[in-house]
Amino acid sequence: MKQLLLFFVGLVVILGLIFALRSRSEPNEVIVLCGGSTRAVLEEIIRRYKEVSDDVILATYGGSGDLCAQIQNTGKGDVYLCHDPFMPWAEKKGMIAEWQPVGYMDVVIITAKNNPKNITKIEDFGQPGLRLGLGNKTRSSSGVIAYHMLKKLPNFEDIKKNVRMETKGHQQRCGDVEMGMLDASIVWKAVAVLFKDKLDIIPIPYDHIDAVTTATYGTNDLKNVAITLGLTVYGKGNAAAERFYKFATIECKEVYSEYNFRAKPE
Amino acid sequence: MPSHNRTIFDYLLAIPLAIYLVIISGLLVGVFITIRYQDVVTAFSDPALLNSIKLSLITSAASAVLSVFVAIPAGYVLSRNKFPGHFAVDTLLDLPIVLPPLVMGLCVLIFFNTTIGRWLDRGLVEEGLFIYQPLGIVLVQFIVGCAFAVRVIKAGFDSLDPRYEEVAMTLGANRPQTFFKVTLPNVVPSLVAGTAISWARIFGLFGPILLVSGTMRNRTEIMPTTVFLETSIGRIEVALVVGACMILISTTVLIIFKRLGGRGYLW
Repeated sequence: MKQLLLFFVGLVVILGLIFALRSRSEPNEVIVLCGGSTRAVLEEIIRRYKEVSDDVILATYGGSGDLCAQIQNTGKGDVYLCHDPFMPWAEKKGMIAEWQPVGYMDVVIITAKNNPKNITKIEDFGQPGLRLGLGNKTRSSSGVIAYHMLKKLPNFEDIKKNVRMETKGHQQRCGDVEMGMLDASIVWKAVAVLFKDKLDIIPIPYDHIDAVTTATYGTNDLKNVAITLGLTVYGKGNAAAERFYKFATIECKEVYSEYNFRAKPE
Repeated sequence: MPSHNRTIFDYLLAIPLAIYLVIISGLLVGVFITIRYQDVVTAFSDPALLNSIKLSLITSAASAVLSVFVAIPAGYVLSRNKFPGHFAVDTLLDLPIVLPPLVMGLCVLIFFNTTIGRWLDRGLVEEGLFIYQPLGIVLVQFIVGCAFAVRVIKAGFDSLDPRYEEVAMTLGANRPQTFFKVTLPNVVPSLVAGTAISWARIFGLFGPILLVSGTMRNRTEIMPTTVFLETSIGRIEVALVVGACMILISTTVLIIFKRLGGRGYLW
């Protein structure tokens, strides 16, 4: 019986130790949920905010859609930074108290350093044997844009044959091009510049991009995919969250441009 | 088998093992030769990495120990008793093994949106116990790791002849004495194997933890999260350093488990 008692005492001790892992929240704590494509700019904003405020900013990163599901199911998260089309959708679901666009995303072509396949425009994606990676054509905003541009080209069938990989992740495609698994891809410029020492970046002219078309959630202006910052209904009333939201939307406007987001819509 | 008895048949049997070893070794060597000294310096100059290593080790150890504490009685009950619904319970315990970890994470997330879930998370402590907290990491790791521990430890109890326990009791030992002095010492290899398998599964877990605890630097960032965060901003070199650390830690822990006597069930 003594051993059985010791077993349960051991279990209680372990549970107690695990309970001690709990972090104590600060009253001026702000939880920011940030889409992966905007991580670099948020880190810079947090760095600047720390210089002027004692508020504790806790940032968590993931896919913009995954974070939406997290807000919805956990009822937590004070500020949400994502790209279109998630913010209006989250607002409709009652999760967002207020929001505004803080910048706009452009897509670019990426190739390995020194552009070994000599790709200068999207028409070159039809080269025989080219290994091309694109965003998912229904679940990724950049994938929707890419397919809308490419399907207007006369060599679309050749290009389709070259698509070796479709995924949501821009960072993954950048990494794959860097490591030689893909020859080229279309990704957000803001993500591509994070890899600028390892990749060549080629702009795509705006006339290729549809002004308005249908993407993941209803109709969206794909020519002006916005980066949006929102204060959630859970952050409304949290003075620290409201301070940070104001700082990131009003006082950090130039930071978004520094991180390759367009300041104004086309 | 003595070496002079080996035939060409035995060598042919070893070929698949050799091929597999070449693949695994090639991958590991590839990671280590890609890393430059400067990458290691860059990675370790960020205190967040040390914090993520610390949190990874603490949470994975805590979850593995908790898993084994639950798996020992659970494995024994399932092994020694046949009760109505035994088959259903046994199948249910396999679900965390079979289901993609991300689905388990979604299930946890949905659970915390129920009345009971909300109370468990925020009923005792205002800031919450699990969501965006290190305890959420332990919870998810435990849910996945415990199923593996139960499966391996139950196999140990299954292979132990119940007559040993019956003999101990005919000699005057009571049930707890029999369990702690006869049964458990005879299944030590499976206990160690269960702990090792559970820990190994837990240590690399990522997707569901991302959903439940997030990726907050210095709070809920563990080593797999660091790999995700670093690749997301193009710092693949740093991600590789973290990956290499995970390889070294895993190898060390597995060697320790093997030395502790986990032979018999899985190695």
